[in-house]
Amino acid sequence: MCWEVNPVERNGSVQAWLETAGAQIRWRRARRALLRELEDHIADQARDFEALGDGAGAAAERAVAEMGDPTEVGKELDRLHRPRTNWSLLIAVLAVLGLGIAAMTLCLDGEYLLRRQLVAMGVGLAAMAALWGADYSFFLRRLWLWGAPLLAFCVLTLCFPLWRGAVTPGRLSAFLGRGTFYVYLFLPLLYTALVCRLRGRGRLTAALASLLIVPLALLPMSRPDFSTALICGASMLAVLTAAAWAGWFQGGRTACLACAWGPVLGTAAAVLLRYGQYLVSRLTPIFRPEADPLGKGWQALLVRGALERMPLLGGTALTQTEAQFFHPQGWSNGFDLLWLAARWGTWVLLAAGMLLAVLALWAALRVRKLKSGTGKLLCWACTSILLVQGAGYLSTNLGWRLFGAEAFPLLTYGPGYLLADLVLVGIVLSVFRMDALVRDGAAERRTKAAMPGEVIIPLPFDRGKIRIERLK
Amino acid sequence: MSKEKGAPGGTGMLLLSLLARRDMYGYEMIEALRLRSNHVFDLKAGTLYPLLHALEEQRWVASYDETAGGGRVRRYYHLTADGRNALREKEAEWAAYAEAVGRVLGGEPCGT
Repeated sequence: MCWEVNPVERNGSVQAWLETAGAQIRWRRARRALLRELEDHIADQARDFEALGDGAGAAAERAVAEMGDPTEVGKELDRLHRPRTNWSLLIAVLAVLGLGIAAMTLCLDGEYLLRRQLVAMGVGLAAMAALWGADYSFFLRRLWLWGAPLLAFCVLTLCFPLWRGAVTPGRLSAFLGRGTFYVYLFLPLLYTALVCRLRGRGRLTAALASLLIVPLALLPMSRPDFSTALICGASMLAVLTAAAWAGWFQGGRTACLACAWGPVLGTAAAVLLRYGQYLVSRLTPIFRPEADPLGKGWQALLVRGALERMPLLGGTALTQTEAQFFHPQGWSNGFDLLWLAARWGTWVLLAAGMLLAVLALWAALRVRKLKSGTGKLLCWACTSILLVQGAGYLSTNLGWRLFGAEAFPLLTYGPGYLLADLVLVGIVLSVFRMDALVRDGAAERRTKAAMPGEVIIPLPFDRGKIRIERLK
Repeated sequence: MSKEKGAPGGTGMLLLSLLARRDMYGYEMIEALRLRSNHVFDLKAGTLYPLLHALEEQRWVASYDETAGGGRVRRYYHLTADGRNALREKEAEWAAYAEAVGRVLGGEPCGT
């Protein structure tokens, strides 16, 4: 509480009233902001009584008397400010997980892969539950507690290719090569935490935040991992766009959106000019797989050829090459949905696409209604990671390899992705749970304070007040 | 007197109509309500804040912190699009209710 700024700060009755009201509010995270609001109210009221001629002590006493019963007020506020669980989201996630495990039991060849998937699901669910019960705003406030190690890890992994095979033994080398791959998926969360700290800043800050996307998204490219780079870049841009749209930065929505997109598009244009020919040669195979300079176009052609024969309902006999590629013995090639489509029909792919559409629609409708702006941005980050990942996986399974993601969120084989995705779901659950408690705090404003809409001047000796109102 | 059970509007509607003019903080609302109603509506803070926070829960109002003079942070409330729609509905309900009460008190026959 701001005891140093309020004139009624050391008044015992004010303190007692606030303590009694605060004792009823069980959740500490809400209590502080609520008591601050009530305390400000008492201070305003006391100031008016003082202007009417009361002494400081008497003014504070009268102000407290105006507040009503502290126990009742505290109880009412406690009732309104409690953590709330988004049960529909939790049930939907568990249902998709259940479906995924059932499908993988049918799809995966051998117990080893299924065991890996189940272990990842167990660990992921434990992480999800821990995050669900945690206060997400703590992680935003203590950014460097996790952000610095994450960033340091991602930067250090730039050196892994040098270490691999040279100083590290085989299994550790493999872990450094693939096992740490999924950590990059959390880079957009670090970026979101940084954007959360920029509220109230100007357009230049929005432009600088946009520029920051480029080096952060390029970190996974060092592996090289174009898919994760694209997932990270798209998610960070989605967060910055949401922030600019929500008025997170000063200076008008259109101008802020231009500042958010301009530097990224400018960088893309510069890259296109510099490496245009190379990019064209890499993008052409999306439409003409046979022109793939890496000679992998046959994969997309194989997928498209198989899809052409698949009916909406019912199974299809695959050729030996197709079967070996889509469903290799003892491993998963990231074509589990296609393999299921070959067994049951293309409705499987259609259903996966609809699942992504539902996720996007849910995010657009439900996340938009969150009270906390920081919570909204964090939810956008998590859902956009899941959406881009799902879109990448689906496009590959449809023979349009825009970029490859090796697992469809929560549904197909991919222990690392499953673990990372459940962590993201845990964060979203935490945001919804804490939404009634978390307050964003005052934005940093560098411009001159706006003129007040109304000024009330109390007249001495209880003769009333003069009200001056600024009309719109 | 029973608290006009069944009557539309209520204090929530009054708060929404105040916020339809401009964003306000809690103390300002009590003062504005008192002055506009010529001291008829003298709301206690203990009633105001739970009501405001309930309106926020319904997404009819949204709040934000703004730094005021002396380094203080004030919590301002503003009317959301949902709140504006709710206010329009409540105003219409109130107009119909007030007209009906007026007719009863004026002794006008039903359906005129």
